[in-house]
Amino acid sequence: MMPLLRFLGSVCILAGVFFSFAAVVAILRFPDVYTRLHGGTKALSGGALLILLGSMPYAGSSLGALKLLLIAVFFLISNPMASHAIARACHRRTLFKNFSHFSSETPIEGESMRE
Amino acid sequence: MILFALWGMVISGMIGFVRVVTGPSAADRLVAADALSVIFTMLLVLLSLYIETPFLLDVALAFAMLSFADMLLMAKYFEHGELYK
Repeated sequence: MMPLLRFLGSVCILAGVFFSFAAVVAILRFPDVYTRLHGGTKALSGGALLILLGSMPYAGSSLGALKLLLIAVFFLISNPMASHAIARACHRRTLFKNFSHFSSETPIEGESMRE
Repeated sequence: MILFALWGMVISGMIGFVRVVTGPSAADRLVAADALSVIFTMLLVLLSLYIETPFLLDVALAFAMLSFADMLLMAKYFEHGELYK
């Protein structure tokens, strides 16, 4: 039973490393802040969960596996919350003046209703 | 295998650090730093599996909580210009 679990865990860890690499390439290559946030947060959350679930058979004791599960549950709660806070701070911009699509001539939809 | 995963995460972190250095605005740096905190936590987990040291998992849990509070405080600061308003 244990070699099968370790094989599945190693497959999960390699898939998680691939997802993390894809997320970082998305952060490097995407043109805007919101698209960077989209690519980085979603793919990196999936990659982190895959790595944590895949490394559970490699933890020596059941206490270590419980700690890994605790980190996974905490990531599942905290990572969308942090990305939402960053996106809200970008939307109600006070210090972020140099966005690419905010400097265009066309007015943003719903901007005049906020006054 | 875990060593290969470690090197993959290290290379991912080095690629993400480029965006932290050359981000056009502060929001890009904030997004990239958020991604780097998750990558560093995964690096601590894989390192604790590789050198078989169980207390690095506690360090990873504490770092995850600390980076979460860090991102919330920085987003609040960049939104309002000050922390308490």
